[in-house]
Amino acid sequence: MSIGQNRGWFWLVCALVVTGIAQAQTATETVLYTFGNFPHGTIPYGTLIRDSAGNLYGTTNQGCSANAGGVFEVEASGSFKVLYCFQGGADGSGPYAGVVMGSAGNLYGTTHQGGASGKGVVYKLNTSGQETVLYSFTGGADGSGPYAGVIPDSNGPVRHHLQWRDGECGRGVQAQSVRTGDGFVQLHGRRRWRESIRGRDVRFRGQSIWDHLLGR
Amino acid sequence: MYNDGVVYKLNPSGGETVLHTFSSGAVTPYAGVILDSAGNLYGTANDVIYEVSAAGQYSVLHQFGPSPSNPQSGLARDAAGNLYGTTRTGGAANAGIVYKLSPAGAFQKLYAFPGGQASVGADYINAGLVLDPAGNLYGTTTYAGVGGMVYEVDAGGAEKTLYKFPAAPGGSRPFGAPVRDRAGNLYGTANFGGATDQGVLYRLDTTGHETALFNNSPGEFVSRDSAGNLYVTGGGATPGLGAIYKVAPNGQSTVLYNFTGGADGDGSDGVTVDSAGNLYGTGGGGTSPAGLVFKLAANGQFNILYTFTGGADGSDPNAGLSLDSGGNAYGTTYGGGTAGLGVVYEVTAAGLYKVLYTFTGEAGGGGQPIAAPVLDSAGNLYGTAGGGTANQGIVYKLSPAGHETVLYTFMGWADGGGPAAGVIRDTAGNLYGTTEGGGLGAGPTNVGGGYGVVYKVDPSGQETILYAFTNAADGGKPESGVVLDRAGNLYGTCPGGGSAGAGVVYEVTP
Repeated sequence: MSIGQNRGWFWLVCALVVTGIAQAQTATETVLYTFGNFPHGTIPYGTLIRDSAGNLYGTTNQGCSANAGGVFEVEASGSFKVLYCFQGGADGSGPYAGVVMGSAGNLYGTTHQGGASGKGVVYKLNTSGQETVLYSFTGGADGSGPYAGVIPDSNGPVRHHLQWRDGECGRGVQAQSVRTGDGFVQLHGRRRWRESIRGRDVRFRGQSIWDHLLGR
Repeated sequence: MYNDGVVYKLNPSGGETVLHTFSSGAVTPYAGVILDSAGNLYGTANDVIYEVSAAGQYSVLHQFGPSPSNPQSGLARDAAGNLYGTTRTGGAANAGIVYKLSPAGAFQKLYAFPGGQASVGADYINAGLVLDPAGNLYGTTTYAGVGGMVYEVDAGGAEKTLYKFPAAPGGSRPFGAPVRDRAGNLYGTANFGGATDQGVLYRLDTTGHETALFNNSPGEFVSRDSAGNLYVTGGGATPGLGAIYKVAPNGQSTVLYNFTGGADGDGSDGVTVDSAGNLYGTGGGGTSPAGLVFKLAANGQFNILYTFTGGADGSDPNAGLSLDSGGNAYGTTYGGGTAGLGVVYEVTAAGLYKVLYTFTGEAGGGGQPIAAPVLDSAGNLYGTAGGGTANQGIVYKLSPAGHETVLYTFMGWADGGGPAAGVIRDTAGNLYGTTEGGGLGAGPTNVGGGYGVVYKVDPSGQETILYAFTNAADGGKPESGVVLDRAGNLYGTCPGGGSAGAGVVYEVTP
């Protein structure tokens, strides 16, 4: 055996020793049982909303499957449904605020924690129970950890600039252009406005622009 | 400059605009805002109802007085412009009210919450109200009725509970180490969960199925006799006083003794059963605030074996007892003793009290033990204590002559730190236990960090880390020890971690 080979063995042994020290853990752990929390959520801080059928919607701050709170419904019949359990990660965690509902039935709200920066999110929950994060607070100038929810501006997403009824603009409308995730909303003139998303012109009829924009 | 929050707007593309900034030292908003058809915003802050007009002008519509106050909920507004909300305080029970504020500024109490966990109300009514066209208001309370409630208050001020959030049907946040039967079922207590969220005595079978056997505020640990009966302490007939229960394998529970709050004390964290069916335990209260040791004989006779004075004899015997085959009981006190750092004591079968060892804190010998010692056949005692040269706790051995040997000193590094439970001993003399801190990420610059470990200390004092917790799905920060099966597997619980954040039962396979 040459010196070089000896040196190789020497380093290999050193590496094994170091590995042996670093890997102090010698046994395996198995979780036999995971205790549950409030299965339907708990600590419903948020204000309820009520739809025209008399169903109530709200949020819980803790509990639900991941102890990160959730969104629930108390039906007019009195029966209870968990619509979504926050998982405590990028999807948000620990909502303090309730939800608002768009005309398509989607729910919108905020969480106090979770999201990309852990500073809370604005989320959407569609009627299938699928959650989408619309905005993750960064903790910078945009704020962090919202306790309050969101409101759909009944005039559309740009406050004070649009009043509409059955797809027609009311008085005082100003021409505005609002960039959405998918394209532009074009507001035309004082009496009419149209949306152009991905090259399509869409007229709104009795539908919240908020929901139309976010509830695609 | 530090400010007290903002009113903001988020448009569909995710852009945020600040509409109003609450300046430092002024009011603080907790809840959101509502919008009227004219574009005015309404909200609450401590202690006002405010408006931000469409033109951006901020004004106070109502100033709350000393009671009711804390209007931490948002508002509901009817077609006539009345605003509705809740407060956290005020009302006859000081449990908050539902109020109405007219456009003219007239403030009116519609409903006062009665308070109390079991009823609608209690504290923490943060949520606002929603109106239906008939003028009924709907809201939530955050804690009352176990996990909170959804309620309705009609226009006349009458309240109706629509839904109560239930607690976990089984346990949540387990307490002590489980006990194990020959079939492999594990039994233990949990701090929360159950019918009233006051905790349960659970059975976990070998398929991972949990059964809540007992629901009445069980104490920290459980003891099991050879017939499979379980002995546990819990809430007694008198609020604030405990009781001792026998729970049959089918879950049928029987009160064996109700603590009176007199010389017998006010309760116990658990009892230990001997082969004759006698129960032994430690408790608080009694004629001395330092605690006591009691025996509940199989025939139902309750005897106080010893009442601590809090002097050299020790104080706060929190840890329960270990029994030897001769009917002698061994325990520790957290405080008292000549150095105030606790003692190891024995109460003989004849009822004689003896201090076996007094912790002095000198020479790294530790102090303030929080677990009962275990015995070997030669009469040596083994346990854990706080302190030590690194102040991260120790594992000690005490000879029958009362001589202490420090078997291992925790550094609070990867080796673990802060044992919150005692040890168990296998037939080869190895000791097994857990620490609450140390382990992953801990080291000389992060002493006591990490989420705790399961360790083994062999008779020579050599420590091996069997498992280091991550505080994720595997659990973390164990506060109780482990039990051992014949194959050498260890079982324990963590009060936290797990996918629901409510703790786990784990097995460590060497």
